[in-house]
Amino acid sequence: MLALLLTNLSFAVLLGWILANKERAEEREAEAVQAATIAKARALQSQMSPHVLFNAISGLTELVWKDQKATEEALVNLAHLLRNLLDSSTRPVDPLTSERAIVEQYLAVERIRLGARLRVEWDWDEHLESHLVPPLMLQPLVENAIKHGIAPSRDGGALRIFLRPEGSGFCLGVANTGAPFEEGRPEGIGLRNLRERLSLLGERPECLTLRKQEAWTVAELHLGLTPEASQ
Amino acid sequence: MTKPLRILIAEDEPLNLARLSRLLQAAECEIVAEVTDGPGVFEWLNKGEAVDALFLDIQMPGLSGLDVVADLPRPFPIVFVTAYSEHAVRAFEQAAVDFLLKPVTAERLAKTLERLRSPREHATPEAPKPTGPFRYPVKAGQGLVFLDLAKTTHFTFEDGIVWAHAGDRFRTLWQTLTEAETALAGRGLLRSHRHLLLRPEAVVGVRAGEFGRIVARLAGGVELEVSRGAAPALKKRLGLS
Repeated sequence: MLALLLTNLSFAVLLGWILANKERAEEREAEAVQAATIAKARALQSQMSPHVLFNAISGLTELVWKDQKATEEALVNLAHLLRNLLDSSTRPVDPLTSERAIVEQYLAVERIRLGARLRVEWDWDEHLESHLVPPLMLQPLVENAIKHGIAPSRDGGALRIFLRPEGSGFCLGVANTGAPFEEGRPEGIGLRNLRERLSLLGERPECLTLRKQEAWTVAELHLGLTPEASQ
Repeated sequence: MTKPLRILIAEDEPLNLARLSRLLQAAECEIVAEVTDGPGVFEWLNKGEAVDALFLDIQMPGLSGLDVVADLPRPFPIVFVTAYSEHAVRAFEQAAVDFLLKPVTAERLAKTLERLRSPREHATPEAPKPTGPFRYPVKAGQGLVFLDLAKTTHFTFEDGIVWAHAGDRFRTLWQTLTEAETALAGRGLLRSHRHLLLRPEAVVGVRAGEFGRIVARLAGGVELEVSRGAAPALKKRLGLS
């Protein structure tokens, strides 16, 4: 009888150990998958095109002959932008104020390159800008609009950046009047990366839309209400 | 004293345009045109003014520098200027004289100008032109025969060979279409595409093609596409403009 009890007990201990071990392995696997997802999402996070950066630096080598103060300001701005782009990859979320700051710095770099062909306007609801979003949601939309809209257009165009309430959440977007958007044209790498990153972060694929509205090409991110940054 | 090189610059970014223009002028070049997009290059070339080299940015509105070269009505010494080396291989495939990375420096530019100047300075005097109907040799079996240019409709470059089209297709002795163009200079042929040298008198009809190109029809129904860059020159030769 005792022997039977001891056998059952041993079996129960062994079974428990096997199950616990399996659970730990599954946990480790889940952690690894999550880590890989985060790493992939970060890798997909916007990296400013080298073409933009080299052109801007080249522009500065000429600006220094014409206006030393403007060159100094541009270099300081460029340093802030690069630092902010690097820092943002270490944080899971950022307030929309940070998104705007990065875009303003990025646009200052693009102005060196494009001059008067780039005309920027903001339609930005400041009541929403403390909400937290994954970093670098807005900058790729702006870069995409410049790359495919403003830069290829002989006369450039207007670039409108907007943040407005929408249902229970908000809409973050970029519109431009540059080279017209062609329906059915395959998306560029910037938008594809952003879409994949949104999917890895659990957002619906349809939360990013690209459409034509009269003379404007409009890219919009429709996001639910997210937490706000603590003041 | 060396004659100044006459340069056209195509660059859409104002500061980069100003820099290249300043450095070229400091190197005693003459800037004959500054244009800010690809189509602007053709607009200027169509004026027919002289230019020794084209400095082309690769990414420009309208047409890229690479597209411009593909559509040029005749070969020009090309220097590509770009911010990023991703296009270097394609640029050299298009037989560019040089490929400059931004920011362009005076020292690096001096090497480019040396390359541009050397063929001009060492050019051999022009050979005397033959008199009478012009004929040129093509291969026939083990020997050569001479074809009358007036009976030739066009020349094409295919599979590394320059072919003469005169009812049938004949293999010429020229290695490149540029070599053929040089040998036939002054005889009314028109570089109508990168791979096509056309005798406008052989054209029996034209129609509009895609993207500003035109399609020329020859006797026998052969149709040939003429590049956007060469289209104005062909129209002019046909009395259409």
